[in-house]
Amino acid sequence: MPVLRHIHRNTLALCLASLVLAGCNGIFDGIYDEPVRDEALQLGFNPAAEEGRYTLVMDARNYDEWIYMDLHRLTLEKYDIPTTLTGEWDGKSVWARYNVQGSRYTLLEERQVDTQPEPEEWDLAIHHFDVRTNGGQVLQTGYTSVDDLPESSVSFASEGFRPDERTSHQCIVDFSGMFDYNIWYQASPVNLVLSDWVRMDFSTPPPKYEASRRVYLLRMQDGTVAALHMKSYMSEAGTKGILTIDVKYPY
Amino acid sequence: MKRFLSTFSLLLLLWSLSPGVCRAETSEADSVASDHSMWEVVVTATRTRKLLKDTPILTRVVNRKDIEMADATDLRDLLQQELPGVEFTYSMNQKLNMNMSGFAGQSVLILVDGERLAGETMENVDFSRIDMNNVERIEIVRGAQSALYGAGAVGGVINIITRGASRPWSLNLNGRLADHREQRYGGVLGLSKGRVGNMLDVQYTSVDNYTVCMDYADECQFRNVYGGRTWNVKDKFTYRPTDALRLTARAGYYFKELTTDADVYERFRDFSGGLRAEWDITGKDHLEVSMSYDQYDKSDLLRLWERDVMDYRNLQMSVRTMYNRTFRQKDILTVGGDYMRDYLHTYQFSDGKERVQYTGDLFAQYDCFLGKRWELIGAGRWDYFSDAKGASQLTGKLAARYTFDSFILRAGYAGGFRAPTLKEKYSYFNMVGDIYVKGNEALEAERSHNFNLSAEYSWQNYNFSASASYNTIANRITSSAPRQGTMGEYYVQYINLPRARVLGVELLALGQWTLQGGHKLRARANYVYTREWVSQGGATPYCPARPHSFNLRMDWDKQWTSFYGTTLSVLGRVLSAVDYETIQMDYPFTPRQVHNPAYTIWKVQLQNRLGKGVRFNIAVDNVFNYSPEVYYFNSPVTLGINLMAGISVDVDRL
Repeated sequence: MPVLRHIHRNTLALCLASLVLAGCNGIFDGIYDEPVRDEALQLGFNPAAEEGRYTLVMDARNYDEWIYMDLHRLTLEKYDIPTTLTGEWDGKSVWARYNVQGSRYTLLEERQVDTQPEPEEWDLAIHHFDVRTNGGQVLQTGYTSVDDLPESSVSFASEGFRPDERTSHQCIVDFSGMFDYNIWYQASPVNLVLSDWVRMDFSTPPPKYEASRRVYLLRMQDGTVAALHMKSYMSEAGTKGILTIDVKYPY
Repeated sequence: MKRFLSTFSLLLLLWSLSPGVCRAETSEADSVASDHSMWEVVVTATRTRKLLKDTPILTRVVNRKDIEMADATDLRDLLQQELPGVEFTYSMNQKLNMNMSGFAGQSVLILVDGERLAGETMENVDFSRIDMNNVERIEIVRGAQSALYGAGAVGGVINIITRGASRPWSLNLNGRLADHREQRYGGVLGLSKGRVGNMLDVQYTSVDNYTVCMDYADECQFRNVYGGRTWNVKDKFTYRPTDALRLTARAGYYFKELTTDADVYERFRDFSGGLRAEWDITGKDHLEVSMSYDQYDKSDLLRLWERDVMDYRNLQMSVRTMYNRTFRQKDILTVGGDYMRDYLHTYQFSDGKERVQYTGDLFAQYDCFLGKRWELIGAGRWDYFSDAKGASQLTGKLAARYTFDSFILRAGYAGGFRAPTLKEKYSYFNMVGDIYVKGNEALEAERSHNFNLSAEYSWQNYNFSASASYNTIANRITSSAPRQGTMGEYYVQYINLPRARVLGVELLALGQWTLQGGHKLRARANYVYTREWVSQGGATPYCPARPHSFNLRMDWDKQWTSFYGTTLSVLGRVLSAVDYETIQMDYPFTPRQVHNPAYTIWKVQLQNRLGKGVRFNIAVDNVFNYSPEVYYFNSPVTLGINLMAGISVDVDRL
């Protein structure tokens, strides 16, 4: 039995002896996987063996920033989400606080904020698990691994790719009222297809998550296509918000 | 409902007024009318073996027959069915909290064969660890007991006594199915020959996740009930090298997996073992020495990575010794001492360090008989904690029992304390969202004083008892209301509350009769009143005890033929409403009033006995199809009627 394999021969005897001497800190450590520290993570685009394949590791734990990606240049850039209005209002940028009861959202208050800053060139932006594109469109495939995709994205050309939509209560920016289901959101365009790669349910705090495990195709403004597969929304240490994304670009 | 209760009350009254048709039950036959006796041996109140009627501190016993009739899976199932004033509520992430007559789980010491349990979640032990498969009896002593048991025994002690093998061989196999695909399978194998015996207990349970609050059109504090599976394996080996010496070795493995998250399963494991020697040195001297190992681990199965990562371990290793000497035929002097190494590794320590605390204690108790009617008992104990410099604790107790005719009067004082745990002192972690939990190194031990009074009256087939207790608690350890830190973060911190008081009253009436025609009846009515006064002092309000709770149990037993018998049981519990102030967990954390409504749950169970070895149970739980309008943390987790069917086979008796 696997458990028995991990019994260190003298551990039990030593532990009994250590009742007085003290020093035994447990038995059967071998049944667990070795802990991994998040500090050892290689954040950014990590090239894989196959050309055009990358493992993108990013820290998206913060609710108060968008991380912009340029898939052409393989760069990541963080921009804070504005929390106040310091100049002239653009007529659309707001924070809104909603009471959330399942699919029923009741607006409690709203405040105007500055326009969300962004880099000049970018293809994809991630805020925690929310995603938006720079004029792109997204398709959810039935595949659960980039390796299984057809040779080319041409076979998906006629499928219904979906553009971003402006949302009022999708991007959570302040979760501290979770126990009372009073949540602050940033009004923002979001690609609802791609954002479905991780579903969150905070109806019974703490929030529960579930990955769709599907591969998504992002068709960008220039017509090129990237295949994206959210391998995990948590690190190997179990830290939620550290994303590992399998990227194939161009596809 | 009122009519239903009135009917039961009337039945009780009729039975109690009609001794002419009844006769007292004195045999030990396998029936409902003989399974509750003042002649049971108990150990918890004095740490010496005493008859229940002779113990100077009121003790409630749930014996093997009660456990079988209750068809309970674990300690939670059993206690809430058998004891009024015991309520299990949820806290965040559906971790269980126990409240026993105004004392939360961390203030009630739970022991298995006298040994503490390692590990906690939200300061409560893992109740699923204690399966009912192989429990001989459970002894409950309400009120402080730190003078004998040390830290944690502020509100009472629940001691679970397990069975040992007594027959050459015995094998029980059992199973039960219920709603939500709840399944329970168990087996207990006993082997005994000469001076050697072994008892192996295995239990498996599983239940699906289910949703209780579906339309979101309310303020449910939780919506989903998490399922999962458990394994419990325990073995107890006994060897008697001589008539005076008994050696026991035990080992246990426990595994629980909760499917709280589609991609992360919470896992809980426990590895336990122990050795015990009990030596009757002479007819008057008795010595016990024991060693105990209890390791409780928590891990997360990260399904996306296929990794099982341990992030919590509490390991308690202890050595205990106790010596009893009998003087003047019945007086007993008990002295003893314990040593424990308490190791804690947890993700809740921000610095990632492990922490260790050593505790030691010495105690003495003298149990003195003054004539035939009076018994006095006094005890004192000194506890030392290596992590809390200068926080040694001295506690004492004094109790008296006076017996005349069929009356037993008891009165006593008992001190209690709870030392701050390593978690309460050193934790710093993100509980959820942006709210942190901070430990507090300046915490002081919680101390309590318990004053109790009880009267018990037994006559023929009736037993009545009434008891009252008053508790003052200083420095109650709890968590603060949310605060804002210097970095703008929100946090709650463990704090001492200056003062709390708890008043408890319990009334119990028990009757058992054998009617003409072989009909056997038993009824037990149990009422508990609890009142708490808590100075909030900036603390996080919690679900207080419901002021009134009432449990009723009625059994009707009939052996129809030599092969076939039935027991029809009706079990009910009624819990009153409770109002309290809580805090909106959203900045600026304003207070708000909460009203948790009263509710009642009734269960009807028919046990069919085939021969001596087979019992087949059919039960309808929640027969009145109650479901809360709003699921608060202290609401019953039910969607309505729950059908259960189970079978238990004593293979050796077939």
